[in-house]
Amino acid sequence: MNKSEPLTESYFYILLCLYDGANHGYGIMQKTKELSNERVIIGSGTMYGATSNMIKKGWIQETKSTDPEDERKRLYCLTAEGKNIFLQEYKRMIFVIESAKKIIKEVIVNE
Amino acid sequence: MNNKRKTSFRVYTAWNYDKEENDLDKFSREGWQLIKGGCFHSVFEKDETICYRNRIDFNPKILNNKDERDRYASFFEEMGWKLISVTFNGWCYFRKLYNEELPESNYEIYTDKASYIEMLKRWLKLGTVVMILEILLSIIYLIQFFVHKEPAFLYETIVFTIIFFWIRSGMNKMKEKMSEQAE
Repeated sequence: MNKSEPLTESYFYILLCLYDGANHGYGIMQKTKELSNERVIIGSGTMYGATSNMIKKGWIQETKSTDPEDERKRLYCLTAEGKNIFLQEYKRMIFVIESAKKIIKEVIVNE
Repeated sequence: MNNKRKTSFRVYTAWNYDKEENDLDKFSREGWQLIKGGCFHSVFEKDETICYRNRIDFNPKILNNKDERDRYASFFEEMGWKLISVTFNGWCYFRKLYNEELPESNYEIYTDKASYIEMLKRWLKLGTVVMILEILLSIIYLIQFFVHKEPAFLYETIVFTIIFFWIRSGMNKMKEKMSEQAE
């Protein structure tokens, strides 16, 4: 894959949710909903497909929980490569926004 | 608890899987809850006290891989889905308790175009293999017909050719669903 290719929104949010530590599917879904003010919802099929692809690409991996109560849950965490991909995308998005700001002068406030 | 059961032999083609989902939801509202989904028959149990949303996914990767199946099912279970059954070729039936206060987006398993298209592509791969098989069989039988001059071989050729065109039209329907998403 071309490294500068934009990530889909689901991929972006999954990587973002794993940025500060491992999480399980439901946790990622909840956190995404929260961070996006309920705009981005990741369904089970989408989550499964995205994580499978990202495991294959080596961006995320499964990890064991240290909490014995959570042992049954499957946790996922970022790999060094995943973190790198995420940061590259983050920088790309900032760059894109900076470009847009040169043209669009009015301030758009999120509803 | 011994609830009344019934078996339905209503068959849906792969490219009508979304129609099957709608019908299953309708049956659930009428009190017939799916307890086993299948390619050739489905089993329902009478229970008027609950209502489910049913969703069907295609994922043959889990068929011979228990760990992958666990990983797959856990994503669904965590979000309130129960895996009811898996057909021999990889169609997975899920259900989730319906709560009318929650938005419909709670019952979508594919929430972006990319992943939905990936699922359809998984099926198209299988469809292509079956289609090639059908056309090969019809060619083999046609050769047999010319060699042996036996009309039975010609009938077989016709049957396999019809199946070939039927699957091809189904694949086009799946591709239509895909391009509706891509626009």
